Amino acid sequence: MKEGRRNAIQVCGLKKKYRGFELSVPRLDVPEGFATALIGENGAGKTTLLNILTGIRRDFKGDVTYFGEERKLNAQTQECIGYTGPGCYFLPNWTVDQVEEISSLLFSGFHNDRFRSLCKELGIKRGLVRDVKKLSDGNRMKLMLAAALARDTQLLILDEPASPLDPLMRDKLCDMIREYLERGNGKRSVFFSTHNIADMENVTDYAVILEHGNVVEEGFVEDLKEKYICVKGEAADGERAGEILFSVSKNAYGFEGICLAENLDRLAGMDVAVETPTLSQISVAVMKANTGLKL
Amino acid sequence: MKNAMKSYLVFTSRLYRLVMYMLLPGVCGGICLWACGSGGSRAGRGVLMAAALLLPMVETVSDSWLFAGVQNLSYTNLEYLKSSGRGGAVMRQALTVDVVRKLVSSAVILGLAYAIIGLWELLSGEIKEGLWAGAVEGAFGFWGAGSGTGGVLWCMVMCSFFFSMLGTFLSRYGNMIWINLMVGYGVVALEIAGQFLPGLSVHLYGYGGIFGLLGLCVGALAVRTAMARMERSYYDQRPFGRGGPGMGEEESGM
Repeated sequence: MKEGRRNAIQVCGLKKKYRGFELSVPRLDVPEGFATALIGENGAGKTTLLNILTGIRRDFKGDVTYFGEERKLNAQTQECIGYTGPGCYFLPNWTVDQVEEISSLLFSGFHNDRFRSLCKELGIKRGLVRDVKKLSDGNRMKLMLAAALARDTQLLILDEPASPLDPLMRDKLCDMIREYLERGNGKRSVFFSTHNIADMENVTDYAVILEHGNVVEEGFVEDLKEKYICVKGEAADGERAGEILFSVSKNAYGFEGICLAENLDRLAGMDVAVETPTLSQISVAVMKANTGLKL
Repeated sequence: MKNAMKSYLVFTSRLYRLVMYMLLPGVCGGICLWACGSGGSRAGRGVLMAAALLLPMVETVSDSWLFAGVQNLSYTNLEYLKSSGRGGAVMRQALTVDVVRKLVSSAVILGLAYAIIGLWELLSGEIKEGLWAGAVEGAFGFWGAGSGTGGVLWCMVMCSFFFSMLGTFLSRYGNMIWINLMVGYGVVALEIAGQFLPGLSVHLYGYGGIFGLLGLCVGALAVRTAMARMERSYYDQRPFGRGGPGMGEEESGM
């Protein structure tokens, strides 16, 4: 399935400078039919990248094409992309009803009945004076999701959808993403940024890790779990193992860390146990290895 | 036209529509009728004058629920609109219809009060003939005889429209209601000062035309400024920079 696959988004030589920060993505493929997670620390460039992909930012160098074709971002492409963004997304004085009205005007594939049913399902109360600014962060995110999912789209780009949601809603969000993909029969894709890797792991098929504006790791989660390995061992071996491991956490009883599976033989002679790492562990290890922060 | 109306209406909540399109003309007409009933047409004239002076303030304050801060450099609430290919067109249409709506609102509200006074005078026997001519000459005699019957209404509507547009334009640089309120007070003060323009009572049509033209110019400026702000938001902000591709460090890749 991975061979000869189509990409929902293909980025080539993307460069964007912004106030001393540079986003540089020589090549990025977001596979079609899958949920792709964009992972990175604060300020890594995730929102900038997503804004470029949705057409909210237009000053960049490089080439972005969509849906496996030479399709550039234009009104027609935007019609196929559902997007949820950070707090400043809707006009604060809009009511939930206005969001429905304006959505049906902005997007031809918007279904009012689907929006109403999603609002009901997600517990968004409607009324005469229910301003968006009076909604909690979580409810505002639910409203954005309802507006995006009420449309006929091929691609969802979600900026930190899980952050403002409670654990129950995060679980629901994963279900909704999975259902969205299933209904698309391999033609729909989701690209979302997240800090809540553990909560979103069960819905993530492909992961892209961004650090300082650069893609430092990407791949299908199952491949990443073969590429990296979680190592646990005795405290006495901690120092020696630390030279091989990407990231290591030590305590009085032992150490735990992540290393490349190909480096496993370098741990020979040490009393270690190996496990398949979680995406969260891989992400933290990769980020730690690339961060400029002193941790 | 239908799309433009739709674009404008989606920016207004049901509550806003209820207040601005039903309640405001209703209350204004009702107070005018009550004033005529309790104090005669002279009291009605007072209400009409007050309505003409206060309408720009109402328009300025109520704009806070529609386009507050839309001309502000730090305005960042357009992402949903920008995520659609139609977002720019919808915004432009909404802003344009808002200008026209302000003119129509001034004409309808003041025209309604004007008609109520005239009708009252006719029915109460204050004037014997010529509903409009009699009402206007009687009501606005203090503005000078021979100024023309329709001229007073024309001038009041245009004056109210111009100051409504001016207040709206200035207040859109801020995004808090108290800014709209302060600007509202300011435009009312300016409008009162405007009543002392030399020869106003004689050249009502001329002044009305000038006010109308200025109102349209400020309206066009308001649309242009908000749209330029929206266009700039696609690109990196520079304190004194211009919008459009090439203004930032990078050129558009689209």
